[in-house]
Amino acid sequence: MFLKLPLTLFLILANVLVWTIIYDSNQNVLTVAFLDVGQGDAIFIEAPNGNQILIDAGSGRQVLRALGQIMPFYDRSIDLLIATHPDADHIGGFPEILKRYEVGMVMEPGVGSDTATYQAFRQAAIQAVGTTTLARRGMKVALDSDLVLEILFPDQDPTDWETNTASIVARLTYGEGEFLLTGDSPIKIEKYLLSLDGRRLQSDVLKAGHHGSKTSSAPEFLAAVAPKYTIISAGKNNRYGHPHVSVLESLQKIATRILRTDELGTIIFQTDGATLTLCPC
Amino acid sequence: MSRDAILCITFGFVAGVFARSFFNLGWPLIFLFLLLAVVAVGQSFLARAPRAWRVAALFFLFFSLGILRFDLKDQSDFVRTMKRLETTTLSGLIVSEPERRDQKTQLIFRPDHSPVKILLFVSPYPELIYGDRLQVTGRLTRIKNFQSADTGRTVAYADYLAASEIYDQMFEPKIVLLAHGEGWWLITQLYKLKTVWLGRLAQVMPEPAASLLAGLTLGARESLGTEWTERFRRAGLLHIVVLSGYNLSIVAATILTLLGFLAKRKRLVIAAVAISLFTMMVGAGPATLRACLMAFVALLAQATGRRYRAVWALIIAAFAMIVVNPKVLVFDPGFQLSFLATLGLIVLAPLIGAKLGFIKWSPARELMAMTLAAQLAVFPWFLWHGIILSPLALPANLLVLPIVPLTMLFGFLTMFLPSLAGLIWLVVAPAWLLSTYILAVVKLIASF
Repeated sequence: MFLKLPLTLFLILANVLVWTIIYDSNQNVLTVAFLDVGQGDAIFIEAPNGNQILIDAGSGRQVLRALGQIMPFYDRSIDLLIATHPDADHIGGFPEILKRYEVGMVMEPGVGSDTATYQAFRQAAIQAVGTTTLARRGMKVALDSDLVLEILFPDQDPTDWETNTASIVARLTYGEGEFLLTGDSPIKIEKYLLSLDGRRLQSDVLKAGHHGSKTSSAPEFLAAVAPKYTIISAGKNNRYGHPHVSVLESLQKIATRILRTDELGTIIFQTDGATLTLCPC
Repeated sequence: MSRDAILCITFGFVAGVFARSFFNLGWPLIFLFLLLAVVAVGQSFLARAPRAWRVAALFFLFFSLGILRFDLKDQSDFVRTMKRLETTTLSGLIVSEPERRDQKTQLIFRPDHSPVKILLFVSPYPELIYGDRLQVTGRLTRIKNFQSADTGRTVAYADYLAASEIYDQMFEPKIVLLAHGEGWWLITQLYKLKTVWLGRLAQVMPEPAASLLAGLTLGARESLGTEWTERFRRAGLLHIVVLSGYNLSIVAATILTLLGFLAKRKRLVIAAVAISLFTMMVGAGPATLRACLMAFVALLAQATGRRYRAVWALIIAAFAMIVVNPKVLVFDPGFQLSFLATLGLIVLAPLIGAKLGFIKWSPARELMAMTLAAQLAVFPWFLWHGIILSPLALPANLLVLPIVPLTMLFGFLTMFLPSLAGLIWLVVAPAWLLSTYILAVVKLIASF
């Protein structure tokens, strides 16, 4: 029988599948993954109860492969998409995601842009979820017990602003673990956030603003956040020269461990609310 | 017509095309060959003329026809006059399915009244499709052959594109979308259907499995990404993703089996129509076109009750393709590789199979023989182009090819079945497992 070999292979694989599903569905941990999407940002968050958020989606289709790696194949939904701001290297992957995944809600800062990519994103979002939600300081997304994503910025209507300045800044807190996610926020916003409430910025993990560009990561901001780990989400040999040497120097001064997606690929953290581990764990 | 006469015509024509592909000696040469043909014809009419005169007559006649055919297809005079290095505005149609890469989308654009096409590199949004009428403003640059970073050899990229009438490219032109749906009606409908099917696949299947399945089933140029494409290349398995003749022959055989309940005439006609529609839908690349034409020959043989000889089917298919576009002979690697691999399967596989008597299980022996034959047949081509095939391509093909038909089956089922109450997972899970297995093999083999 010619089918014998394929059939045997098939049964072995079916077995593997069943065990993968069983293995996947336990563990009382929060997963935060900084996805390797080349030059751009994409952060995937999965709560212990299975709630999922994707903050930014890189510039194109790479994010689909990164998600395929981190999500089980039968999981075809993401609860919340957050577009920190309308630049292509942050929202470029969203139209395809909105086509392929069942999405619960889409959040954006409310700054406009007339690029074709932003129009495609808006159109796909409205088709999928009806409308987008504007992120404003003080909003809290309760993901699980003791697990909250808090919006720190914008605290006002940024309609006509320069897009980076309008970036959503959010802080994820789970027990004693904190992640500060800053989009492409420039130095003036970092300083503004310091002036609003500097103590609330302290976090274990910081995603350095604007892929490590010198327009972000002011030394005083870094000192206030005092992260154990700093993520730089940038592409290999990108044409912008990110991360900038001066930013790397400031980061060395605060003795944080620098993790770069251009060197390490996707970077995954897990925490049970008490201990933070960098995967492979 | 005798067999020898047919061979004479075929080789004369192909030789003419071949010669013209390298040298353009212009009209005087063609006249010379025509003159030779006339002389030969004249001689062959004389009483007791030796056979050689008739052979020569046919050969020279079709040799010059080969040159003429190539001349008609050659646009280099027009191309020389094109405006470059200054901003130009052109309006025209998108004449191919866009190739959506990670960051950029590649389009083939034909300006109105132009004999040549242009390769456009545009951003992924707005999403453009076949048949869109555009006005593009940008700078044309001539496409050039380049040096391969790995082998240092010249990659004949420009020659390859020139074979399909593309000589120039335009990066990130300003685009105004003027109208939709001005392409050929049938193609538009087929591509629409394909988009719907691939959309269903993408909704239930994660990447890169979705792109792999899209390639295996419909030859979709969905982006696997450079990293995976490179892995497939290294593992010697890129041919399955771009829809090889192998995939098409599986589809053709399945169509015939499914139509088994019909009367013979009807079955053959419907099969021929279905196979042509499928070939058009997948974009009619050289390998699929070759397989499609060979399938036609097979159907015709069945209809007329003649014996099907694969070598003749291959020669007819290749000849037809060269007549339609003489440039594929020398400039299209896809055509050459597909021809060689098929020739290997037809001629070498039985010989190798006979030597593999020690493999007792016959399906394994056949598979081994076919894989070895195809690899052996394309080996000289790669050597000529300075590319050393990994010896691991053999185990990679042996591990992957047997499950390709099953993977295609579940891939198609995923697209065709409505997603009723979770039942779709009965086909999605197997499709995912099979493609994950293929990806795992490719990743493993490519890592050596």
